[in-house]
Amino acid sequence: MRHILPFLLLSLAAACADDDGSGFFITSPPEAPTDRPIERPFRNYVTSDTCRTCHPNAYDTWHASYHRTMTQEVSPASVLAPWEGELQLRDERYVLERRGDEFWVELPDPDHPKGSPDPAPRVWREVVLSTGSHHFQAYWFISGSTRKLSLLLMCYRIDQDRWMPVDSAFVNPPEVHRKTGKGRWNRECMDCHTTRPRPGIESDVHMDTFAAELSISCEACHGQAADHVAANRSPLARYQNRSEQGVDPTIFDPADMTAEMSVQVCGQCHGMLAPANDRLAEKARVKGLPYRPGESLFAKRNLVTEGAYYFWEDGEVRVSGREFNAVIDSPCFKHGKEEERMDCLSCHALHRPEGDSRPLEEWRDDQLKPGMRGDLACIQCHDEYLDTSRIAEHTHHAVESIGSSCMNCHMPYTCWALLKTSRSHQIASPSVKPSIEIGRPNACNLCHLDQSVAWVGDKLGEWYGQEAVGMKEEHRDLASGVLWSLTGDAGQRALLAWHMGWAPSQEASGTDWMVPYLAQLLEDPYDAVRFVAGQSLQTLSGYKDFEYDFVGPEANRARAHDRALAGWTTTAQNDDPTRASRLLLHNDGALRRNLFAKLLEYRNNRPVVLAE
Amino acid sequence: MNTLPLARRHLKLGWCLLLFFLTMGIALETMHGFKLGWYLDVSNETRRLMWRLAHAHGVLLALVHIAFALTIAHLGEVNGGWPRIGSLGLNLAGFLLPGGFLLGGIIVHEADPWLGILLVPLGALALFFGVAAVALRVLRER
Repeated sequence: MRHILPFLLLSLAAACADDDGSGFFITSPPEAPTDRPIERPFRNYVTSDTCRTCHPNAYDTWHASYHRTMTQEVSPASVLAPWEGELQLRDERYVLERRGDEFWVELPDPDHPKGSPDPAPRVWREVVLSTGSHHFQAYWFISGSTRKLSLLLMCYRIDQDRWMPVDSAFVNPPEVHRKTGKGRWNRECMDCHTTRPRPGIESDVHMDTFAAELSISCEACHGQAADHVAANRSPLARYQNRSEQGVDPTIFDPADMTAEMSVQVCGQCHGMLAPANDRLAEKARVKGLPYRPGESLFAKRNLVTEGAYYFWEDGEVRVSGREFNAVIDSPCFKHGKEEERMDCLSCHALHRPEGDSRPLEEWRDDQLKPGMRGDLACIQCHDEYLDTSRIAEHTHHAVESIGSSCMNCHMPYTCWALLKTSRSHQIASPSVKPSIEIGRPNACNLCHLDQSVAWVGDKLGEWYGQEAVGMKEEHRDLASGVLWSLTGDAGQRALLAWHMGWAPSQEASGTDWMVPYLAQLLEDPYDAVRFVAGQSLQTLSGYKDFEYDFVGPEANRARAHDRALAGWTTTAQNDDPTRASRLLLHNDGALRRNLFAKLLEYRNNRPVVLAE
Repeated sequence: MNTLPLARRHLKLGWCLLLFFLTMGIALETMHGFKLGWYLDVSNETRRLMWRLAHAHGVLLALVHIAFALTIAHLGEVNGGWPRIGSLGLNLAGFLLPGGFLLGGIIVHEADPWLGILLVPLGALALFFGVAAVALRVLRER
């Protein structure tokens, strides 16, 4: 027996080892690929796998969130698009192919020299990373040089189960087309879509890009956790910490911090910031610009407050996903005692609360606390409105009506991204001044689309004593829905098209006058406007099954416009002659086509790009 | 020393423990069957682990008690204090080990059990000495 035992043990070890020498007793890490960004252990970052050991519930709720799946390695489990067949983008053709668990695309060589007389040869590229999993999913393929990635110019719209051009997912001028963006992921996207990014951009060709974790994980918000893990390895230390119920100094928990520090954690990605100086910008290209939660976000960054791609002319953010700038400029954040200030966690729960009975999908959509989609969000501080008689007194609308919803007035849907609006997080009272001066629709007119800006101005003066503002003829004589959908810029038209499909606007404004305007927007030069107009049209009575392809041939879109108008009649003129006039209707309900066409000539055709 | 009374006590205790922890196993299975969040949710992962350990240790220790009873009954008249040491060790372990896991799972904080878990190492020590005492004696048996 004594002689047999060592032999048995050795035999067991050999049996457990795989062909490549790895196995139960002998392990050798697999070689990391060199042609794509990878996860690599990074100074003091322990990754979410380690956090899971002690925080299973927090891990589980993070795992169910869209933060985790913002960046994913491409695999059968992560790819949501049907990966087969061909895609056509203008004159470019993409062929999609699965090779086992790998995803490939054949396309014209993105590296083919510009201006070359020869057509670009077709090449196969492996798709290795995806971005997004909530509304859209975009795909990145290897460029063939170091870890630099290029963007597949078609993305997948999840709820509609369809491919569409990446250009179309944004408010983007029709004549401007995105390029494959060689290295864009390494230069821009990874900054927020990974945990502790290190772009490693040494030149346009050489990029040694890696991150502590490819998803937005625990340490993005809680900071590097190696010290925390070391300090809490001992059970005695853990029980002692728990009995003291104090703040654990080895880890950052936004929930325990002041509002000012807490919002910065979200602000590192949900804000518009730039490296504070050229030296830091240069450093960021190679080593990244690490932000450790708990430290000042502004130590290495400056807040950006202007730029047409992201802001209204008065500096208010107009794109979704950059709420930090809006929150820190809101009275709820700026005023009052430190402990009473609003921060992101006043309404949002990044980890699904225990006992939350809502479906998972409802929580993870916006990661809100229970009840925070409604008035409770505001009443938690403004508790004087628990007395419902105060509500009607304040809002001049019936208590249960949509006009008495706090957010409809103070957080209107004036931000845009990914083919939909989102609520402005710059909490403010409605005013017509920005509508007149810079064209930002006011909250009142976004429900009362059939009323003029002047009507709103009069009401705000009468109810809240707001000073009268000088108005132009169109602000007095035209309904806001008419004015902005015909003469607004692409951003305004997109907002209006969306609101014409929004139930509260439809309830407040009626719908039977909207068809000509939405039909017109079906032919809008901007893809995003056409998309939303088509969506909104389908919410109107009789148009539920209206067939329309917003990126279809131009002639088809013209036919869709005619089809939409063909079945339209209205009685909106019967309610009130002045209303009919505001809505460009004759007394018999017919459209005042000349005036309609005239206003269309005044459409603001300035190029608009709304980035994210 | 006549070990028969001691053997009878351990036989009774072993079967009683087996009955108790078998019942506990049925209760745990039932909680699985009805998908009770209080037991199955990820936030209660530690509770599930603790109670599964309580069930497993309880059943195994019940069998050890029965094995101990059969062992000393088989040996009949013996010299020395080892049966009492073995008996004491197994008795303590039979309650402290599964009891510690059971109590540890009542209140959990993330991945850490309640302080009742401290009974477990005591039970493990008791089991070690109890088993060691029997093992050493049985090894000397011809």
